[in-house]
Amino acid sequence: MFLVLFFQTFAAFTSLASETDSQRESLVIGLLPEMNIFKQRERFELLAPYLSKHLGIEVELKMLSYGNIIEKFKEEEIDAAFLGSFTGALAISQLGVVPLVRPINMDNTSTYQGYIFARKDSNITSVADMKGKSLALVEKTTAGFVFPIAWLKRHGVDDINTYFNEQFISGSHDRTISLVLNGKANVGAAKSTIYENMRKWQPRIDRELIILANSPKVPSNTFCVNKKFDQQYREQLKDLLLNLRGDPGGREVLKKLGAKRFVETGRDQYQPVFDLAKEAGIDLKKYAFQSP
Amino acid sequence: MRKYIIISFALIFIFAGIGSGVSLYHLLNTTANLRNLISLHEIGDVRQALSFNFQKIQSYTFSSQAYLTENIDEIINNAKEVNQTLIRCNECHHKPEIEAELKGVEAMVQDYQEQLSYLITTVTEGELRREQQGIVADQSNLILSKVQDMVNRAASTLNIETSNAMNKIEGSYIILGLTLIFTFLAAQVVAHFLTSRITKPVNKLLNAANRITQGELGYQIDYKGLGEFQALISTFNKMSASLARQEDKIRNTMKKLHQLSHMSLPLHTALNTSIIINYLHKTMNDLIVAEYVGIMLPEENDEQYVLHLFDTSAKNRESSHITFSQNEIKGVFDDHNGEPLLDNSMQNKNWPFAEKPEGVEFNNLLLTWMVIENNVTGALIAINKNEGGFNEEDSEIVGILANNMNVALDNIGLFNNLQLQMVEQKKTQRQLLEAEKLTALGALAGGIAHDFNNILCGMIGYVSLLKRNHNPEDKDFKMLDTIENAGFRAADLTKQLLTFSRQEALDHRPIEVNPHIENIAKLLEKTISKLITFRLELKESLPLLLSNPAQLEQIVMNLCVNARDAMPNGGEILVQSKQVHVDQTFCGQHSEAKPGDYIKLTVTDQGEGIDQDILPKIFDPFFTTKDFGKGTGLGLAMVYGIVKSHKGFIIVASSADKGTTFSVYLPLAGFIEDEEIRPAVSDEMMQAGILIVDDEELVASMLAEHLQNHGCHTFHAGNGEEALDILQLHKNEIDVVILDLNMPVMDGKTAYGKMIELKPDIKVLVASAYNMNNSVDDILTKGANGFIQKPYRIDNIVLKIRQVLAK
Repeated sequence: MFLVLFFQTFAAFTSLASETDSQRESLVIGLLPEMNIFKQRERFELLAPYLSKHLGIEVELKMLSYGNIIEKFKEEEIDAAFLGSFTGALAISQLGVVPLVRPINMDNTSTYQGYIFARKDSNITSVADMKGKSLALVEKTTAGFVFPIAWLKRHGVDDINTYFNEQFISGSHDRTISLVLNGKANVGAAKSTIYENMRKWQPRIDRELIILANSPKVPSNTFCVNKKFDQQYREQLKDLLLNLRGDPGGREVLKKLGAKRFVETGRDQYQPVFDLAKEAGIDLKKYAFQSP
Repeated sequence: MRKYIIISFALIFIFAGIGSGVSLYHLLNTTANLRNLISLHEIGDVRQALSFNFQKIQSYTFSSQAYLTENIDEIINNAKEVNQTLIRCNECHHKPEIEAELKGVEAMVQDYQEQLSYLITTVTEGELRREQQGIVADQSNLILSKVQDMVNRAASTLNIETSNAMNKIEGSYIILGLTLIFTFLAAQVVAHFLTSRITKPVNKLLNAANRITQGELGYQIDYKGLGEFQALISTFNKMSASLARQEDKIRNTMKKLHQLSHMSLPLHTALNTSIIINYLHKTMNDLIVAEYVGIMLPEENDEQYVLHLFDTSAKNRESSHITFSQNEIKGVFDDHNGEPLLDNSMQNKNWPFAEKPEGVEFNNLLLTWMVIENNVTGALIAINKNEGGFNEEDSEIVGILANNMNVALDNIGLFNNLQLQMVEQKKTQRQLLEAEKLTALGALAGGIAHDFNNILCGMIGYVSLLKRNHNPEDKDFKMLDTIENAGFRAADLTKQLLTFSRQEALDHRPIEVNPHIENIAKLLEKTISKLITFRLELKESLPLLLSNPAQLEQIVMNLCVNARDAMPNGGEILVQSKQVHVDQTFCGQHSEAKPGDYIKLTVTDQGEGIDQDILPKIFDPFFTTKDFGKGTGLGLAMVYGIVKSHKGFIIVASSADKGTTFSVYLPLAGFIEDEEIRPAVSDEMMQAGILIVDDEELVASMLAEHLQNHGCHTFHAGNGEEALDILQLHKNEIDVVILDLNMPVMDGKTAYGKMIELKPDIKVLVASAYNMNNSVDDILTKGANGFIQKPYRIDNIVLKIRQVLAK
């Protein structure tokens, strides 16, 4: 009888110790430089302390590049990240990361498109006009990379390296728009949301640029977590982000992010990205970034 | 004054306030400039912070894109520090030109960050990247240059501003100093002004207070000035006047009390109430001027009170009298709870008693009760005070007078009691003196009688023996018989003396009183004048009295003979007997009396009475008012002695022409059985051995010869010791001891105790001339077999010896 009691007590202590080990002490969230990294970082300033307060653990933000996002996930230097549609599709395909939620923008959209644009004074209005010109892309993004390649392929350009005289690979959409606007490149591709945002404080964009094509809508930056991420925290994170509107602090976070709320997001909503990648000839499972 | 004080202090406050305001203004200006100066100093720190962070960023600017990407968070933090530095700087500066410059710097930093972000996110290597690196570096240098320019200008401004600030601080010192000096001077002026205004009336008050303290009550201050002091001094003047009035009132009251004290003195020496009543007229009129004054006092029986009312305007001092019942007085007293009646609006109403004084028209009334231990003993009354009616002071003054009168009345009662007690005391002292005198006389008489009896005893005894040797028809026999009778008459005389001195030894036994009185009455009726009648009032069934019949009859006989002699012209002699109880009250009135039950014998005559001067001497032996040869002067002395031997007492009441009453009180003892009468022994039994113990050789030899003639064998001892020796030697031969008591060496009483020890069955016959200190009674009580009084007939002693032998 005493032995039974002893083993039961020991088992209870063992169970408690196991639960204690699984307690998480910190959460590192990666951010992508989809725009000016200083502004991007500023947008998420309130989110980290909010989550830390409600989860009871330290939450840290880490600015990443499109080039090292998959590596950081693999090396578990980050636990979660706001991923663009292409990086999201890549991470889902290669690492099995789990999409949880994505923001609804202030204009009630939760998707974006890819724009292909050119300077008006370049007189480029078709694919043929682009031949021998310079092209500015955004590295590893749906809007700034996958879509223009797919679109060009659809219009008969199989190899952009030979079709264009010069290529600029930018790390951010605003940089790409800036390159075209400042005449460094003739044609560019970038994310519609960034483009539209820049229009508001850069009147030159409307005056000097023309949009030549746009892609189907793909999910905007989605909050994804590592597949090894604790189910408990995963659900807590999901609930917190979905219910930000119901809390004054949460509403401040949404305002700073420039979003109305978050909606649940699943893997199936990445289908347009998978399709575009296929059309662009990109094998997501094997694709590797060249840049750091 | 308060207005002046407020205005003065307000002026001081205004001066101080203006000075402080100016100083504060300068101080604020100076400190504001100091803030600017400090800000200007901080711009150097801003430049250093910006320079540091820019250099940090610059160190990444020309590194590889991979290195940049890896340290992107560090770069962001440095950029953030730059932003924070500018924000802090902007918070301190509010000059428009500096704010504009700072905003310009902020815009430059924004551009710089945008270019830096482009550089960080530029993946493409080559000319574009290098160009971007140059743009970033140029912009950072431009910002630092701009900031340095601002620092230089700030340093220049700093010098100028510091100099200005120092000048302003010095100016502030001067203004502050001037303000303090001016405020101090203003305060001095105000203080001087206020002090002069305040001290003047205060000094006047102080002076006035000192004068009042020295007794100048009513002193008035002459001051006209500020409102509060004017009011204060006015109040002070009123207080001074009030004090003067109060002092006058107190003086008047003290004067009245002083008068009252003096006037009360004669009251305390008054010996009767009439003095007090007459004294009231003057006393009250001096204290209260009223039309009528009166005093109400109880009559002797306390059932009525009499009001003695005086008309103060009348020349004679005769008073009218009104009598009230005690119940009426007590009723009024209780209705007013013993409080004085003070009524100034009477108008013939409210007179508290049923009967009004005749001819008095009431305007006002003051009645003060005289009270001892809550019992009303009288009252003082004043009617119609002339000026303004009675007041509380009158009530208190009359109250004090009433108390004094009360004390005086009480003193009179005490004085009367004292007088009575002194009379009683004198009477008692006289009685004690008489008693002591009689005791001394008794002792003297007893001593003489003892010696006489011894002499007579021997003389009579031998005469009796001689008579036996002669024929009664002989001439010598008749002569011897005459000698013997003369001896017995002498013995009677000594017996009377012994009776007076209560040293006669007689047997007391329970007897009935009345038969003996009747015997004496019958005897006297036959012998006294027919002008005198006897009347007996004898109470029947009286208890037995422990006495001697002869003595009882002698009392009645002597008193009746004295009564007879007191009524030479005839009258009635009343003899009474009854049982009485004497209590403590009776004993208090008669010093010789003791409480208890007594047989009271009273003999009353209707004679001339006994003169009070000789009354104390009537019981003295040999004192007589009778003609020479008609009285021995021992009759009443014997009565006194007999009564005293019974432990009783005599009371004599006599008044001129009414007669005299002798009351004899004889105490009743408990019931005592009659002594058993034992038969005498026959002549044949006189063959006895007899020890004669007597220091008188004459008596002893006579007795021995006589007893030997009767066949007895005699021994003789001269004192107790010899008797004990002879008894020791002839214990078996001696049957009877004839024992004298008063002997040298060892007296008879002591010897008896030792004889009993030697021979318990010894018969003892006590033969003594007198009963000194009741020694006969004591020895008989202890067991002696008989007693015979000296001198005795020799036949009687033989009879006594026979009776003793028979016991």
